[in-house]
Amino acid sequence: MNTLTPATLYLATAIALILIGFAGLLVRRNILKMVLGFALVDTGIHLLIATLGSNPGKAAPILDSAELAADPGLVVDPVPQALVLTAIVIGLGVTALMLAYVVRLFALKKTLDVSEFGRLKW
Amino acid sequence: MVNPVLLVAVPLAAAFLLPLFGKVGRAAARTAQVLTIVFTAAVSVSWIVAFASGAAPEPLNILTGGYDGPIGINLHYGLPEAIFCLLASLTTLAGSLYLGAREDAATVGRSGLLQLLIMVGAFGLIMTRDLFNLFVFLEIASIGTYALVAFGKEEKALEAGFKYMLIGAAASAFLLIGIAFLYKMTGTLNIDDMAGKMPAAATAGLATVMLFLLAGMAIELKLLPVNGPALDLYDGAEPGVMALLVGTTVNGVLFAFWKMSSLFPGSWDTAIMALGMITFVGSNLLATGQDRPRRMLGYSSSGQIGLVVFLIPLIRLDVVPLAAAGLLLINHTLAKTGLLWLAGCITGDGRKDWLGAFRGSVAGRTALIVFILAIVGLPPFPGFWGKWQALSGMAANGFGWWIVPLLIGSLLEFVYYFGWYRRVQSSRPDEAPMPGSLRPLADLAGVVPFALGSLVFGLWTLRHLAGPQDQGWLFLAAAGAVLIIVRRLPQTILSATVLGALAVAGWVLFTAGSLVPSTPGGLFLLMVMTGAVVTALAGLGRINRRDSYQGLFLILVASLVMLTRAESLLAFFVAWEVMTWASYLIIGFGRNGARASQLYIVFSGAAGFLLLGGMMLAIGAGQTTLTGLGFLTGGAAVWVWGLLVVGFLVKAAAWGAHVWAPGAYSESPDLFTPFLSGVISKIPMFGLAMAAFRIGAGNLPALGATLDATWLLAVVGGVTAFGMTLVGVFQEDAKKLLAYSSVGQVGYIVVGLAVLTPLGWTAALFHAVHHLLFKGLLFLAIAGVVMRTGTRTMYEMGGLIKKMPMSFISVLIGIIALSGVPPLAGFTGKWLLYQALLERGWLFILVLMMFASVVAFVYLFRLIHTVFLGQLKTVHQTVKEAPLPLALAQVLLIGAIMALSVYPQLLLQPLDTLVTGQFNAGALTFAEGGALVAGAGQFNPVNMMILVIVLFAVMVLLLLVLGPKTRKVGQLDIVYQGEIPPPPEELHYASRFAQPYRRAWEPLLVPRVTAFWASLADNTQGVVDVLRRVYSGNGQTYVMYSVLMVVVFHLLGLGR
Repeated sequence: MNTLTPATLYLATAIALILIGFAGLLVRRNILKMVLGFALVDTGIHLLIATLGSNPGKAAPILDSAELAADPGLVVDPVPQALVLTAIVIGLGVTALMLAYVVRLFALKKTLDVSEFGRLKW
Repeated sequence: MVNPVLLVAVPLAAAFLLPLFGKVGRAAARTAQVLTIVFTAAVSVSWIVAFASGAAPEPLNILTGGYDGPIGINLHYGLPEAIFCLLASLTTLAGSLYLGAREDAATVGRSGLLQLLIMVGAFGLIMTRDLFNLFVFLEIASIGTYALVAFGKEEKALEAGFKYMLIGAAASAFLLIGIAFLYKMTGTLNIDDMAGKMPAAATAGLATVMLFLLAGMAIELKLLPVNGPALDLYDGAEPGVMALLVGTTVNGVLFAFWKMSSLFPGSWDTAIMALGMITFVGSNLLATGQDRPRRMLGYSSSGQIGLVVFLIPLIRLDVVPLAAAGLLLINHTLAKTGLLWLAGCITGDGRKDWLGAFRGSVAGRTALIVFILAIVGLPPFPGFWGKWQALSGMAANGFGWWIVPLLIGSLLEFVYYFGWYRRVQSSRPDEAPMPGSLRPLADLAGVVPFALGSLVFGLWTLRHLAGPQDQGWLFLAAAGAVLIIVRRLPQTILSATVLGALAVAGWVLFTAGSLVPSTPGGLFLLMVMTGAVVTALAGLGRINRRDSYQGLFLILVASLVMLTRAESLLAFFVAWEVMTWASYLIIGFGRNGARASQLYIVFSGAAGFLLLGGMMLAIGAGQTTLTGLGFLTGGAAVWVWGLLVVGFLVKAAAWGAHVWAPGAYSESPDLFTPFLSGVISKIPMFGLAMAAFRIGAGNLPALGATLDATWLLAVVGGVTAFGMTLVGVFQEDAKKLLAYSSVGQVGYIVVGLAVLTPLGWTAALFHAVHHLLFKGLLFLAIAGVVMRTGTRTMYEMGGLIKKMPMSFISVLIGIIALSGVPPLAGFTGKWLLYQALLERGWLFILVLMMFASVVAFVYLFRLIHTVFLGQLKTVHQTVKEAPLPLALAQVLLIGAIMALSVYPQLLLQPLDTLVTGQFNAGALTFAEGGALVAGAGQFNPVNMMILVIVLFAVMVLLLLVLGPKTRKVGQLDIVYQGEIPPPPEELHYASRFAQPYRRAWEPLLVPRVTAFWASLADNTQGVVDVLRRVYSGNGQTYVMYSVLMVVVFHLLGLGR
């Protein structure tokens, strides 16, 4: 248990990324940097899902040889990988839209400070 | 049948083809979009028909691509899914027409694409059983929303959209983390599958995973306190976009949460319920401090969603039927989308922008009030049925304490929604054109069908849930609805129709043997019909105004007919609430009725919720009918009795809750006040008699012996009678004077009922009928005077006896009847009441009542003295007698009073039968020759009348013969010595007439009760204004709340 397995390392990295990302979201006042924070959280989660689905020693779920096709137990679970792919696409879309908002907000107010965008309240 | 997979596939394909159609032309893109939506609606309709008719007995379970989970995605499509998909289609259809009319050339086509995406997202959220797929559809809907909001040209739309995105990102992160770990734990993504494979042990790890799922959903559901960005979105985004979301994503997310709730172990139930309830009460509380209606609608949405979230664990536990949540959601969708569409038709969103809104638009104003009545959960709208089912399920299964916050939250909805409507009713200070006009296809496409849908669906539910009811009231209500539609016809036709409808209904009820005064229901029905006919007759004299007064009046009468004939608690309460809103709307027609009617509906709402609470306790104890209340025992009996009595007293404006009454009586339309005072104020008395006093094993005398609370009740009645009389003395406004008098007179009835003896009840019921007659007469006569002179202030009148002799006679007879002196029937009533109090030994109350009766002279006298005697004002030289219909109505009432005075047996004999039926003992003996024998005495009304007339004639003759010659003097010929004279009217001897008494009664006249309610309102407002600052407007703070929520839930140890 004392040895640092790759899975533990991935998991630790994923959690670190998520926490750093949230720290960015909560501490940075620049909305561009907040979007970066979100991107970090997103990446951390993708790594997390991939790690949860990983199984060291097994092949990628690509059935390109007769040997693998014959024994599904030799490949890792394909579902998390499919999930990660979908999540990456969605994350990309959201990030792009966020950046579009940033551009339009900057064009309107000439500032990126998040506290300047608080006219609607209470 | 079409495979529901196409619900997702077809609009998704069409969405991305729309920009291509856009190249052809705006119309092509629009047509393609509308056709796509219509297609989805048609699919759902066909399946709803199939499921409902039994043609498709089983819900569909579709495995996409033929694979089983987790590779294949499992869609589930049953009746609930079909209904909510249809709702999403219809909202998108109406919403796209609405938004289409508002978009500019640059966005044509693209906006349609996003609308279709949002709709598809909702379909997916509703149908899919795959947890990850659910996340994908959530993101599709969210991205569509973010982009659609960004079309808003204003800065505030962008600001709101960005904040909404930030917190949405946090929600996605939480959800993904939760879903990933759940997959790791169970090896499946199918929710149904997963529920069976959840680890049995409640470990800390599992709790954390579920926590992330709950936190993510809480943000998506817009629960407190992470709903800040959603509120900003309501505030900043185009209302049409928000309407679209309410009908699609909001329902979809709730549906998704309902599916996910099977994953949460039972240890989460209380936490989820608490979260929902805190959101419901908290959001509604904060909404009361909001004066921007769009943002207020946002708070309201959070509240309504919170209520459904609260119900979800209860549905899982089979405490509440699924239909309850469904009805609440359907109701919310129809009403909230409608309100948002209407809000979008008003430019600006400030306090002033809404003054007099939609005055010029019949459809707009009617729809607005329908939506408001629906969203606060009044019958017959679907939300009421949802609440009733939820409440009765909770009451019957030991979740009774949750009812308290639920009712408080519901009352808060009354406060801010009717506060908003008050603004709509008020007129604009400047004579600018009234705001709010609706464009036929674009705006009305959603508003009118949704308002109608809400009404029709509610009535359909009424038929299904309340069971077959007596149809007498249905006819009246239908006639009323027709009159509202044709309100542009001349008043005479409308009034005549009202009379005709009443005649038909009256005849039907009469031939059915229902109009008999010897049963409580029959007696009050007789009062309702009498009051209605007299009021309708006077209504013929209404000056031509084109509003829905006449139609609403018939609906009001219908509710009262239903109420007096109700057997079940449900029917009673439905009728009660319809009575409340119908009378509220009519009071609002008064010239300055906006504020008075708001106060009226808030207090009536509180009364209604007290009754509802009592009824729910009774239902929890297994009793669902009015007669069943008699079988309640023990603690339940005491609590139900207490809640019902307090509820009825609030509605009767007893002392402590009387603050609403003077305004409501005096500001309501002059020709309606007789009905309000004569009939509606008696309905709580009917409730006291029929519901409250039933409790206690059906044995009224026994209850009287065991519960001293009746004495307390009598004291409340006595203090009301005494206090109102005291305040009434100082009124300068004739209607307000009569208003205080009305409230006081109801106090006498309360005392009579509280005595709980045959004699007490006879006195109370006799007085109830008699009060209807004389107070109706007085209010009618004053209505005529006000109509002719244009003022209600008494010292501005005088000498009207010459111009309005008929009205003078009415007032004279009215006040003699009221004051309870011989020879009129008022004496009989008082005589019976005093006997009853003596018999019971309640001397303190007897003294209070006698004193109140004497003081009543002080104010009654002024109606004659100030209004009709003295010299005629110059401005009133051309005043004419009241219109013929009013005079006719007065003649009818005078006839009835005279009949009762000479021959009270006419009423007393049936009343004796009634009372004997309740107590197994009568109170009166009817001696030969017409004498009445009761308790310690007897009198003969005919002899008494002859005696009084003879004495009166002798005295008049003596005065004429022996008295000094009369000399006429001017009123205002007073000489001043260097002073600046005040306005001449204030020199009038009748101005501030009762001032000398004020010093004597000063300590009693401090308006403590009014001050209490005002400070309650002020303090609540202060607290709300501080609490609202939680929503600081900073997007970063909002994200922090979401993170804090996870931390706090974790520290609380939820789910462990």
